[in-house]
Amino acid sequence: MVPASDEKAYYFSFYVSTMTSAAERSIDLLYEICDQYLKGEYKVEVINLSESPEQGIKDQILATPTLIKKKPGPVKRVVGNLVNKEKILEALELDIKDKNIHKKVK
Amino acid sequence: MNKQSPCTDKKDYKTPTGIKGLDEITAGGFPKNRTTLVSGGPGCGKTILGMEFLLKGILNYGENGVFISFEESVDDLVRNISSLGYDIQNIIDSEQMIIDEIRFIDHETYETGKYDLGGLFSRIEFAVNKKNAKRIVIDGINFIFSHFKREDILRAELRRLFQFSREKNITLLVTSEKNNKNDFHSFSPEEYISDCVIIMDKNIHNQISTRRIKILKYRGSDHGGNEYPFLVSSTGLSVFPVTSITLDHEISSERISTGIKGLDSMLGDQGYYEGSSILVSGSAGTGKSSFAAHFAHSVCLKNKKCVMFLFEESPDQILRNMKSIGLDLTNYLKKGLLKIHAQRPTFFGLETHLMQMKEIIDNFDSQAVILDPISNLSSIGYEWEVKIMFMRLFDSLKQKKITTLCTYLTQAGGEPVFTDSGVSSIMDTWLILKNNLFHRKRKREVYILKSRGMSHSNKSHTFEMNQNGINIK
Repeated sequence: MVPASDEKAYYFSFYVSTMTSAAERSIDLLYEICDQYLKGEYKVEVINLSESPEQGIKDQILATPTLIKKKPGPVKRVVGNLVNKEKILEALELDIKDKNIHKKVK
Repeated sequence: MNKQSPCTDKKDYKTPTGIKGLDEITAGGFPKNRTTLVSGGPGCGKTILGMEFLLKGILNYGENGVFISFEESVDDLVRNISSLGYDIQNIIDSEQMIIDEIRFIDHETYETGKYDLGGLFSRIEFAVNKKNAKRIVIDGINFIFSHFKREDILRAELRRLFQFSREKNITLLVTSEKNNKNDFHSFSPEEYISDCVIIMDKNIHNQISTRRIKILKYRGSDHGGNEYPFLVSSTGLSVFPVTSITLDHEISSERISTGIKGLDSMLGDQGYYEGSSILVSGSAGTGKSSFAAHFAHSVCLKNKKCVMFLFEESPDQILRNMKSIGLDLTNYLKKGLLKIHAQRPTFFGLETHLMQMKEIIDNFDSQAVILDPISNLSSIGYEWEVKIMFMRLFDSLKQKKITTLCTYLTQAGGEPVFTDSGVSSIMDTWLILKNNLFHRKRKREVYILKSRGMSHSNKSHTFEMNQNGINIK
């Protein structure tokens, strides 16, 4: 983990309405992606809306689960359970140095 | 679970809307703790209906409300609703209502696996708990369908939302924008699962818009089956049920002078009945407005109030013209006994005219009303619409024992027995004015086609108009 002020750091928020097993698997997969491609320069925040609904209102969350890549810009949203690593990488448009990323995923 | 008992006791099954006329056509309001869907094209009044449902709930029934807006911003809503005379900011500040504005801020949304609308539920629940709300409005639910792709999920979530309102004992109103505004018969799945479906519509006829409301279905309850005209006026929404046309009003045997000596004698020496409706018809230049002005003069002379609605001339014009036949009405205007309201017929739709006239008549507390001429109003609606409007107007005036005199322009040389708009059958007294050429001179004539409940002259009488007014021989 790194301080949030770090320009290069990735900042993810993952919103769930209740912690289901599918949500847990999604979080595991998110960490897996981060560890594999972001070399520890990231922060993942899990927000349970049943505990902090105001956070969901602030971030305009309608569907759950929702993953938001808040930093660095542009902000990206991924709606739904995270199951397919390749699709997630494509959706988040991570600026990954490793050019062989797609080969690795496949 | 799916309890559908017929409504025996209104209070247990209905949540009153408090909106003028709407409770009448829904036989008491929306289904309590259930879902009502309001569907209609853009700009037909769905948001105002929703807002008034909440505001009346707070002001009249002590039930707090939550407004979830997919369409308009909180600022816009507050501004628009304030213009209807509601102190909405104060209501929000006093914690009786919450407006939650949902913004789709990020268009770059990517859908991967399965999801639900847990975020929406969480914020609705949060707002409901915070205000202990009994009424929720979700305005513009259709936006969800354009934002998310999985329709199967969305529909299942809507069902869950409807279930949520039952469990929480909250009356839910959901509005949805329909693009195909005239298609009253195409159901969307939401309409199947809601307990009550209301369609709102805006029609344009001869470039004048008329709004209509219709109850498509109402589980386990009676409801009016017609399309009802409604109006968004400066004080909010009102629906007009046509059902108020009853024939049980009390009638008066008091008489009121026509303002013309000779005409009084033609009408059994006493003039019109108070609270009756009088029609004066004739072609152009036969003196209809002068007969009307004489009546106005006679009403004011007795210290009673009279309103004139002019659809052709300006107030100044009629004052000048009447001065030329010796009738000075300006004095009564100053005294506050006479009110002249001039309005182009095409300026509003029929309903707006009706509503406005009713408002003016009520506020002025007048005992007589003059409409000059009503033939102009026929151009702004279908024949049956015009007829219904007049029936409603005359009916409500008769209930209040207000004497009404209307003039009607007929085609020159045309037969007097017209049935335009069927208005004639509602009239108690009908005068026909004519111009005839006799020895190269114009000869004016008046005769009474009918006058219910009094002996009256059966002859055609000639009359003159000069600086001393109308003189019937």
